[in-house]
Amino acid sequence: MSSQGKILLKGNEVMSEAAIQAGCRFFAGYPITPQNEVPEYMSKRMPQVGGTFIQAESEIAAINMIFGASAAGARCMTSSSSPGISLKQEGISYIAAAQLPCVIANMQRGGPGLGNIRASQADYFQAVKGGGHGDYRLIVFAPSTLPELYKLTMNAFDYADYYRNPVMILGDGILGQMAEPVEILPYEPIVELPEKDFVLDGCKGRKPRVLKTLFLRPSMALVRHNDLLQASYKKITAELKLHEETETDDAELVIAAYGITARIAKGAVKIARQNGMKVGLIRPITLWPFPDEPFKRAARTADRFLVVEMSGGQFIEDVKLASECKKPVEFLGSGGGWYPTPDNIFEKIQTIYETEALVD
Amino acid sequence: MANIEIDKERCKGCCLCVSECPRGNIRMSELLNSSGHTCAEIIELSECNACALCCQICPDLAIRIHASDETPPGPLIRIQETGVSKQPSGDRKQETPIGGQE
Amino acid sequence: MEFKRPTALLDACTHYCGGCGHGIVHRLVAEVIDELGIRQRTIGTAPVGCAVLLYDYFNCDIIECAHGRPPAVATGMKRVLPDRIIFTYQGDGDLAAIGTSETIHAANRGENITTIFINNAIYGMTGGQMAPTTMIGQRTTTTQDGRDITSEGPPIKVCELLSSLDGVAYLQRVAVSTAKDVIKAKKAIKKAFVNQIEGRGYSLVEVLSMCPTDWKLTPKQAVDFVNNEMKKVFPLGVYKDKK
Repeated sequence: MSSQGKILLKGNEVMSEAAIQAGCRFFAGYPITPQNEVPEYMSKRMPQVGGTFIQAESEIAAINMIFGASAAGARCMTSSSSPGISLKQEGISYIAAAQLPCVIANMQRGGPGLGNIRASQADYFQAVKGGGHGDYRLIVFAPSTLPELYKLTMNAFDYADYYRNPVMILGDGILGQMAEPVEILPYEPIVELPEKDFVLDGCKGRKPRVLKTLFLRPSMALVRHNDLLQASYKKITAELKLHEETETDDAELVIAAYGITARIAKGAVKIARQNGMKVGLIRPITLWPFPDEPFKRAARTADRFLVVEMSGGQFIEDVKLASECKKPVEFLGSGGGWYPTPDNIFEKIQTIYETEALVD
Repeated sequence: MANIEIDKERCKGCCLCVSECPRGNIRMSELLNSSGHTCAEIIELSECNACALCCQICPDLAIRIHASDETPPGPLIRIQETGVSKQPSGDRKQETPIGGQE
Repeated sequence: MEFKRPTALLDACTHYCGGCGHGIVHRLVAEVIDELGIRQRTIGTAPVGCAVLLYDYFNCDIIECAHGRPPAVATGMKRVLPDRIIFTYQGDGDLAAIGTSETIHAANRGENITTIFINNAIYGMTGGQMAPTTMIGQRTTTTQDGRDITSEGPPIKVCELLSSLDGVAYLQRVAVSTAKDVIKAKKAIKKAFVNQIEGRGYSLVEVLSMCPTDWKLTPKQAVDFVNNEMKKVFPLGVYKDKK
């Protein structure tokens, strides 16, 4: 499909169309609010492009269908929202262990438990630190606008194939439900894609292949496999840290925020600048690997950080680690469906300025 | 006479073939294989009519029947009533008689 | 008469205990693959359980799955590669406990796959705990006074359960406790693979199989247990053959 100019789509549809454009030909998922537009869109689009859509009986089945489809060589994707992503964790661990490429989207909602259906960023730890068992990592993308969601979804398939690692799109209910004009750009690979020499498609003309995650013998086999995984994570960490900075050069106060919260924080930066306050923003685009360099730099030049996130404080831990706790880190956030407005964030900035005397 | 043989290194000594043989022509040898299992053996080769019921029930594919004009491959051991007629080749360990004597 | 190792099996000794039925069923599946000439387009799924090392024995592509998930994994593979032959090989815990949902829904969708279901009424790999197919009164390490219908319920009869689903093409229960049963079992397994080649949908062969170690019986007694006890609770036969 060539470029159609800008069309108005919901975030969930934007992500789905990007997947289709990127050659995703297998989708399995289970309905859960606020991501239902994804399976609905896929159920319509997949047959049009000769792909497969399956409404699975559970999130567990869906992620295991992805395991099979990826092993069979297809570009494949599943999506869900927080409670459903919890159910997928077993399968995600197996997929990561087997080094199979796939894309998993989490349009986060309020938790813990059944929570509610409002937007949230409370699955940060689960996405970034590994929600399933074992020593594995997901590449995690945190888009903050729908054009970026479109682009990063396409890129996610490329990076998944390139690194043979599952990639998670960590969105939220706002990003999934909001509508915005998006240009449906044609897909172009962002990296040179390797040959899929792991695919199980019958052993014609080659030796049989085995895809497994059990390593019993010899006794050090699992250690060696883990070393292999860690080497891959090291390579990803060295190559794939993405972030965006806004007005950080002379900033006294640097806001750290990701995803939709960063978009809101940009508005607060603008208001602060209009009021003569030197405020900037660092927005990680990859949450893993975490872009620590900009935080290290800002820790030298700025006086203070302000973390804004839609949770009780998860992302803030990585900001403290990346800035090596060299400067105080303030916090504005809450879980369960709270979201900030630019004015909320600006009020917090004013409070910091009043109480902490940032300007010397 | 059937061209049948029992690979004693594969035999785990479950005895299912012994009870399956319609002619009662299989027994457990007094020999142990390298894994420590007692092994099944054909009592009288000339009595075997290659019905292959023992092959069907054997969980370890230890019993094979070759076409009558085929020479059995090297590592297999043909057990006859007099004992082992052919020594194992390759790196397979020799059988250990129970009690240290045959 | 000639009887030799099928080429779809690697030349390896199995890790299974003496008298275990898995070895017989492995051979039957491999012989069927050979006879149908499909080894190079067959992909098997290994379960969690004693047969987890199935990939060490089969001479074809194998994917090892999470416990209970082979029907979902096989669904993903078959939909991507509809001209390949996908089989799942599952035990009673895998298929009828932790993976019941995956089994029922793959069957109900009529996924064009072949399932070999090993029912030995016990959890072998973990050391003899109760299976969903453990029979009333049967002692296991977690039902030490025997399975009690009032607290554990009766055993699940998988063929009977699945026979109500319209999406299922073929269900047969066989045994491998006598040579005669083994020969019949192979016919059923062959039909389950032929069904897939012909695109007829979900086919399952339930195999009553011996686990002498965890039943704490000799192999001969284990065979008798299948013949005298299990076949009463799990009658052999064709439970569905959709035309």
